[in-house]
Amino acid sequence: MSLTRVFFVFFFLPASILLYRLTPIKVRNALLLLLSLFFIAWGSPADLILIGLSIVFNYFTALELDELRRAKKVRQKKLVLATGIAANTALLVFFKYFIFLLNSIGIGVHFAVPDVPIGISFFTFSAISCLCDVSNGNEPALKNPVDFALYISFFGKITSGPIVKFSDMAKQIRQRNMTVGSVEGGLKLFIVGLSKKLIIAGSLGKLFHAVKAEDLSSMSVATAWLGALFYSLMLYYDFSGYSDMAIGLGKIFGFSFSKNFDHPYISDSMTDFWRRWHISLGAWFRDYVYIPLGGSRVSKRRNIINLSVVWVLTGLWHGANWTFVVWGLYHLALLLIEKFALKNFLKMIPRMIRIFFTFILAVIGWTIFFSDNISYAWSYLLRMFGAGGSGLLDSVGKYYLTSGGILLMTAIIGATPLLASLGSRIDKKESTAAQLCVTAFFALLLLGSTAFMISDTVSSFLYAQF
Amino acid sequence: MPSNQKSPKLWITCMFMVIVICFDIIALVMPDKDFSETENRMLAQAPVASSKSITEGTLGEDAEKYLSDQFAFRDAWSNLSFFTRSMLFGQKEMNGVYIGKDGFLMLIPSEPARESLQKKLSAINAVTEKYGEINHCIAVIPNAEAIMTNKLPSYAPASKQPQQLDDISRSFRGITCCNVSELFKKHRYEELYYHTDHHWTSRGAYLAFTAIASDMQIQADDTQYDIYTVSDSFQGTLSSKSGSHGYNDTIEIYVPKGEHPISVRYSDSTETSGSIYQKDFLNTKDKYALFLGGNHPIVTITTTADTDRTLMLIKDSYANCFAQFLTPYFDQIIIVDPRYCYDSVDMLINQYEITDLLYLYNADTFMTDTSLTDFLTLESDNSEQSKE
Repeated sequence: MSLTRVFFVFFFLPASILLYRLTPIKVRNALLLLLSLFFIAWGSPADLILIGLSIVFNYFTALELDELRRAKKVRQKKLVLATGIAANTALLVFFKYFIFLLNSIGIGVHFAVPDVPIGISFFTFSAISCLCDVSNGNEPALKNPVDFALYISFFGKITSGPIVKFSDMAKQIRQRNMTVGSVEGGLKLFIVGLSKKLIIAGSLGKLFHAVKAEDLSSMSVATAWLGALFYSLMLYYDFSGYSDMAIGLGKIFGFSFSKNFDHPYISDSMTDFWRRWHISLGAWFRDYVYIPLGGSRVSKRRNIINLSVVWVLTGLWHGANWTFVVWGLYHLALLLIEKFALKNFLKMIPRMIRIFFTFILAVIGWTIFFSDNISYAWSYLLRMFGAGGSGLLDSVGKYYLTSGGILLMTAIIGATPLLASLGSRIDKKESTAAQLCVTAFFALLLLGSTAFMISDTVSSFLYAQF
Repeated sequence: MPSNQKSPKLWITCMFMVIVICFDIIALVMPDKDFSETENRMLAQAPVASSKSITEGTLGEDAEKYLSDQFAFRDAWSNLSFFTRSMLFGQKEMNGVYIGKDGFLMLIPSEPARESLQKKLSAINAVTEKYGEINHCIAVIPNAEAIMTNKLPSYAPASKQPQQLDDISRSFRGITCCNVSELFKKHRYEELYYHTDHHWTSRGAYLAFTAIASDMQIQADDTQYDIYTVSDSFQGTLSSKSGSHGYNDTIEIYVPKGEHPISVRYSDSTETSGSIYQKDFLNTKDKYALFLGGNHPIVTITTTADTDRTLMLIKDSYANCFAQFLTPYFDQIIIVDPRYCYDSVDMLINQYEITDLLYLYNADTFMTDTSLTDFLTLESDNSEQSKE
């Protein structure tokens, strides 16, 4: 089920909220689990089997790890943990990377691997987080299978995260503070996320796809940059919108997930960028890959190796393509340069200039990210810097500038904390007039999102006569 | 539940619940619609749950389609999103349609597939060569995007069609090729194309006819026409595609003066009609179907012109409103739409004793459609292929 379509917004969500409020606290987790299973089955019942198997396997593995940890059987615990991580990784690799791996080592594939199940990159990472946290003693395993199943499958986060750490969520699954006020706050976040995704990201996406369909060999510098900017902002609005919705849904049902995006495009360094972009993924790699490898408390050489492992994996996590690996390495290179070469130099540069260059570097990274292959990415980057193509600004560039300029400016302003701080200042006022304004604004966002939700399905069906 | 010190504010919750529940009630109460006039398509209906649709997961997708197709005030939502995109964000194209100046909507032509275009041109040349005794003529009409350049959005990329049409005309052998690009550009202020539909107007078709007629050795000046406006509330395909509904087009028909009794027969229907105009369609969304009732595999028009000439018109929908100009000059006109007709060109030429052959297409269809090549494949080619 998609969070941005009619059934979820107009039926599933209000019904879930009402049912949840009417259900006794003891069985609320069971209710959320049932809703989550229905949510998964709605689009692809086959995924239910796979997710079910993953739940059963990880539930028992976590219990076993808990047992071994209490009994202080370290070697057995390590063995079980390794098996558990290997099994989850194998599942992910099979569905997501199998064909890519075979192609990479020169084996043509003549059979089809089943469709990638929804949220596999997210729920396998959640499961690994659970196994590690239980094994380390950060958090005891969830004894109640309903609770554990809910941790893996909660409908707010199953499709696109955030990857909530087991130790953070398990406590909340056992007991959480539920107030009507949290529904209010959760719905606000949900509506903001919905409109970010449907209104802004959807429109930017159309512009980006139009630019990408242009002939690359004759692309001007302006067109190439506009395309890259459309994509960079689309990706931000799409993913952060999604995260807002997921966190909002969590809040509605009493969970408190930490934020996944924190205005990444006002970062003043790449290190800062990765503290603000897809925070939960960065935290996962930090906690379950980087630190276990020794983190930064090792020799400089070893530290660089550790970082390389993290960034190759981060790249690959985004998809089975060499472009993602290159994108990961690009960020690795920038981070290393920042960390080891430019640390003191950067401090002398005014913050605004650092923000500008960090943004530009991130945009360049996204061009590698959105390219279908390395050679396309290379040609696209050449166009961005004026090699080949048709000059600085041609009529195609002017066309996209007039056609997408306003939206782009809106999106850039919206990516800064300006609007949010203005909004929260009005929101804090107790007066009825202020509350009425805020409510009207959210109603407008909800109705606007509905317009895009409905009209995006207006089919481009041409008459039979054409 | 913890007691609340202050009574919490629930404005957003109430607003959200009221809005969604209102729409849920409307959805339950309002009867489902079968057809959308604005979009000109059948709307999705309530899906039926079966064990197959549940296990394969199609039920959820079908239900989503049903819910959004039947969503209350569907047209108003699409207008609202059009308004946001074009007025607020200033976007210049929507779903493959340019939002031009003065509300002029223009189809953005698709890129032609070179190889299949080449095959098509060779197929036409082969037919011309095989049937040397017939007068062959071809007219590929540029789309509005190539002619109404003054109405394109600012800085819209220059149309590639003029160049493409030049290239096409050069590759024909033994067939008269009528390129109306220059003529149309000269007359671009005369409403040659609908503002909200991808077709040309009768006025555009008439202008092309004056040029094509001389290529076909027809004395076009002899005929005078009565021009009638039959609709002033036409919103065509481009309106539906883009979601822009701010302009109403006028449809005119050109009826040859004097007595020209005709009989029109459709290969996919048993009825015969005395006119090429099917006025019932003026009461529907699809008003352009006034001309010949839309597309059919083969339409046969029999006239009393007594000119000993029989025309085969191989065409797309642009020719539907062109037929009104041809009736005074041929005893019989066989109108073939290769997209729906599975007969071969050889069979039809021999069966009807064709004397004249006219290909009439708009550039976008001509360059992308592949059914014409299949239709033109000659019988000898087939036997050669089967030998291989």
